[in-house]
Amino acid sequence: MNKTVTINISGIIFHIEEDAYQQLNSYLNALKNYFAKTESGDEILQDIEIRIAELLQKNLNSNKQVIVLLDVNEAITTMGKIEDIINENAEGEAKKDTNQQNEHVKRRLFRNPDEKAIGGVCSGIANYLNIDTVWVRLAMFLLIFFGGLSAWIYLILWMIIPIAKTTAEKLSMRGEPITINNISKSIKDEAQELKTKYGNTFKKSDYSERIKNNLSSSISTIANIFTRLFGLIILMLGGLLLLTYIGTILGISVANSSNSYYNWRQIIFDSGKQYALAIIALLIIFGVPIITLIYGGIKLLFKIKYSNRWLNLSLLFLWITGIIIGSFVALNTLKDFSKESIIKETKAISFGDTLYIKSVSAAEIIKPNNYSNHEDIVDELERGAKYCIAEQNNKLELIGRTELDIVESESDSTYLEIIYKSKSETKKAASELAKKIKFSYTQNTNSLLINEIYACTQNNKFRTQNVKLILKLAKGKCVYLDENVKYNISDIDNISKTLDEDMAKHYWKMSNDGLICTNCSSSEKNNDSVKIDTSDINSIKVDKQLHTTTIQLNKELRDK
Amino acid sequence: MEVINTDNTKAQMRKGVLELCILSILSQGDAYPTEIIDKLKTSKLVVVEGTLYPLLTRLKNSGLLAYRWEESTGGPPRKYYRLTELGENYLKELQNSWKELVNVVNTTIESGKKL
Repeated sequence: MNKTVTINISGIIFHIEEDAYQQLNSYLNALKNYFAKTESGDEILQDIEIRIAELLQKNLNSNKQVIVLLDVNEAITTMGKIEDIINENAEGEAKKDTNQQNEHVKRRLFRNPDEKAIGGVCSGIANYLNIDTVWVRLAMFLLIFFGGLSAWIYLILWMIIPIAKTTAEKLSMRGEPITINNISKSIKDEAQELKTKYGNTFKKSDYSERIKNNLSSSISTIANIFTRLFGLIILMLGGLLLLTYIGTILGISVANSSNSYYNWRQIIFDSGKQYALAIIALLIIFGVPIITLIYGGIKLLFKIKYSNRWLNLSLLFLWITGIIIGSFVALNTLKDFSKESIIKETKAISFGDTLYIKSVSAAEIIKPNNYSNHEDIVDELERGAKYCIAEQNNKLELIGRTELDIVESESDSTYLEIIYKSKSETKKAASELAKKIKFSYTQNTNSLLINEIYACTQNNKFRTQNVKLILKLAKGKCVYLDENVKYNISDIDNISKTLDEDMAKHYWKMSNDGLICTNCSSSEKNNDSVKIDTSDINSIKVDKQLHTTTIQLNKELRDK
Repeated sequence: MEVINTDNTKAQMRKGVLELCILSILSQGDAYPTEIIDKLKTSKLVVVEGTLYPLLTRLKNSGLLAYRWEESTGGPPRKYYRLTELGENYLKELQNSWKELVNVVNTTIESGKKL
């Protein structure tokens, strides 16, 4: 069984087998290409077609209704091979034309199916640039070390560069001069063009039709420009995203080599597998749309109609897979944080008028533990980190900063409430984690010494463990916050709305309205620094009781 | 349309003769390419048919030939060529010069043989 094509030669319909069609088509194209340069070429070709139709028809009868390759070859032999026709017809002019044609050989970028490792992209590019394939492959290989850049580049090129299917395409891919021998092969890709052109010559076009054609062609030109512009914008956007994407990959790979990043992923994710999956999912989820953008942009910009359905579907499939993996990891990880357990201890505290709150510094607490990254931890905590990870014999320990809050006591006495919190997959596991938090404090007559940090048990995962101290201060009592608790202070409400860190080194009294600073200077209270030229100020009125400052500005400045 | 040209190759020579033959065939009556080809084939003047069409078109373009379309039964339409007045005159001229040429060539070849 063979597939047949229906063709129309000079108004006669033929059923022709596909291989025979290819042969005939390339023959006629070659002739057309040759005669296009001679006078009345179209007419000559039309005559030849009529003759071919006649010759083909001779071979048909009621028993044989389909033109086969043999018939076509016979007709071609009768008509003469292109070389013969050209030789016979050769005159100075015609010869010059073929020479000119040789000089105008343009290389075209195709994927090379004859010399391919994956998709023939590299050898296609090598052919285009007229260099050895090895160099292109080497370049691609080296680009792998830039965050796998070449993988994406390759994928894009694979999609957008058409494969050299026909001999003609292979010829123009190699940039080989189209000699007489090659003519028949080299112009197959113009088949479409020929068809449309011939369709037009047989059509009688009147004036109104021409105007219509002109109008629609100018509209299509404008549409064309817009399409290309749109393609360019998409392409640029895609390129920008690709750069960001590669930057991120590089960032991750750099971060991966740093200890603290590695430790964090170890302590957050249940297993290394989860982390790997998370990264893969992110790469796919963001990578595929970027590639699609660039792909689409290039296709629009260069009006490439070629599209690889198999690859498109694979990309879609890949993307969906990425989303599934991503949601799987996200759900799994979220589940680990889904249940919370809170353990509360309350202690009554008695002291004179003022309670001095100090902390045992982190450096002091962790000193006996001999963490291998002792200095890093101290450094990080000094910079105000809330959590950090201690390393000891390759085992990780989560360290967190104790939070301190001061509220008004509901009774006459002062209490200290210590709240241990943790999350986990189950309530039980969460309370297990909360119980394992190591924290201590000491209270002497007038001082409360709290540990600046608490530590979780080795190899316990990070599940937002937390220790919060709530000092329920009786009315009329006073506290002094030492300098070294400044990072522990956590949103302590006060009348002057002083920020946490600035509350240290001051005395705070629990008044009827809340905590009030008893030894703060007014300049320290006003934390909003506004730069104002003194010449613009008419008067400054400071109301000490209300802790407000009113600045009267010049009229001009107010108008501004 | 001179038959002899210093640059002429064998093919050119044959083409010149071919022109003469085509015109002669048409002088006997109108014909369409296939008929012309059949007649030429017997005289082995046409190697490949493809060369005939450019020639016919050129002769037509220079006004020596004219054509008309005729329907054929079951086949593609036929392009019947005929000699124009100009063509007839040209043919006569050509036939004369051909006779002269043959004489000259024959005597030249003969005298060459004698030497």
